[in-house]
Amino acid sequence: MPRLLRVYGKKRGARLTGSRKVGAAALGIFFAAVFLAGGVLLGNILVTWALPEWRLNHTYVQTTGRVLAARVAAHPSDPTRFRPEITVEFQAGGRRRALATYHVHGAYTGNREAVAATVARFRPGQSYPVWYDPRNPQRAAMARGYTWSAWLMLLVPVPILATGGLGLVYIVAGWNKSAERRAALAQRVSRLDPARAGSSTLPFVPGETDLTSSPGTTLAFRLAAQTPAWSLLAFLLACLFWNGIFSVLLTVVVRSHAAGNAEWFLTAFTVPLGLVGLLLVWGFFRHLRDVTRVAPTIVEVSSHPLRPAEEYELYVAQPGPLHLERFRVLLVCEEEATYSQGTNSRTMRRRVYQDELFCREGLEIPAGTLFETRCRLRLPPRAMHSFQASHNQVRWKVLVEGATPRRPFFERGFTVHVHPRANGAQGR
Amino acid sequence: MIAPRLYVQLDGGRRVYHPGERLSGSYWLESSTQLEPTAVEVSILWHTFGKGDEDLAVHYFDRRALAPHELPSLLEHPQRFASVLPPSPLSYEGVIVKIRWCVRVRVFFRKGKDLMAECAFQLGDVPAARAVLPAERD
Repeated sequence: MPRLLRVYGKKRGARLTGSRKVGAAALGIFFAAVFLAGGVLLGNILVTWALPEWRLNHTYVQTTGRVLAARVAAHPSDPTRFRPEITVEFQAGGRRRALATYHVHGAYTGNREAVAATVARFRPGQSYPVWYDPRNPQRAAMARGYTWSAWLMLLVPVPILATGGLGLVYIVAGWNKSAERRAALAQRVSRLDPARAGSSTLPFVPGETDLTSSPGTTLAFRLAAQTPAWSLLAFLLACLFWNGIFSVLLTVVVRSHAAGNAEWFLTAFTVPLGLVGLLLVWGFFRHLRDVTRVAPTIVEVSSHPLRPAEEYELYVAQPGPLHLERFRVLLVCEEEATYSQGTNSRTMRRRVYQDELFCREGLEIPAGTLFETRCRLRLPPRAMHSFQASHNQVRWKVLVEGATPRRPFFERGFTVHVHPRANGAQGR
Repeated sequence: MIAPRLYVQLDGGRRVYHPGERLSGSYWLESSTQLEPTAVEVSILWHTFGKGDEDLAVHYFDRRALAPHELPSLLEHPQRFASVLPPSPLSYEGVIVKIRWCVRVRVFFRKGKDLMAECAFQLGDVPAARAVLPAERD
């Protein structure tokens, strides 16, 4: 059968130019441009806002001037923005000068009342302090002090400078260096953050602190369930976002109909959006029901981390009410690989080990009671240890699953860490 | 003209090591032409291959910038390297995740591409894995 025409497809792996050097150079130029843009923006804010204000408060000379006029001036191109303009006459640099000013920034604001109140403080014919620039007496102000906005604006170019600067450092640090040298440099940097590379004595083996910090009531450690809270939260946020947009459109549509000027095109556009919104709400509550319909499972283990060839006791408790066709406890090992496909990142999992630790057919747990069981857990003598790197993982977990009539079965995973054997040998 | 060749050899021809053991070996360059190496890098590293994007970490890394008087020794006499191997990660032949340890030597020249040679070895003796369920994808 001939292959169907593929309208859209993505390449496996990252896209690269033929030359790594050319690619790095292009990226370097990009980061340099970003850094330069940040620098220009910073310079502009400094020259326009921060430095004039600093000079006004430190180097301007104070004198006394006579106010000739005071008015609320509107912006020449935006009549909704205003600033005070005080025409003042004062003596500076050996001659009399008259100019309209208030603050060095000369900034406009939308608050006309506040501007009018400022103008009202100056009465024509009366004398007030004036500060002028000794280098250029044509620059003068009727008010001193700092405005927080001028200094806060200095923070605006910081993320741009940081992105450009760090990008440039990354390019320069990796320029003309082998993959091994780059990795060695990156590892040296990551050692500054002990949380990143797992326990320091066992490189790339996940640390056990998160799991051993919870003591059990029956056995030594209670294992934390892989919670679906994040997926539930993501569902809820998507629901709120979509239906928020929909409600705004719905308001516009309803108003247009109520006013007798119906927006039929918008109405037709809003209906499918509303249906998708309803689907999202239904999906969220269905997911919520799946998550909450079975009471939390308790799993405890006699020791942690686990080691190959050693035997451990496992305690599993499941509160009722629950009618199960089958209840199973498994020890599983999964590989997880994350790979790029074009601009997307995909994750693939493959189960490579499965051992049934407990199984009961037809289990009835009445309300207010707890089904408890203990079983033995033994790892294969040459089992692979838990492994965690940026794109690849080997993960061990205790899996509790139950098949319920007329409903999808529930499955709960409890991560356990498997360390290499204490003597360093794996089945030696 | 015969192209230069770089050789890496582990002592005793060993291929399997256990964590905490000392790995040692040597490397040498063989060439009939006048070469101008500028630096040599020796790494003991692991990297992943398989379905996922590559992860790579260096356990031992030594870079030596070469002065002109050092060239004959690199060309004629085997250079030594040694390191005590870490407890993890162990070599692993999984279904979609595979971890491979190797010694990698790279020689950089004043002109042209660098020359690289590898010698793979196994850390630990974890057996190859087999899939027990079909793949699951996000």
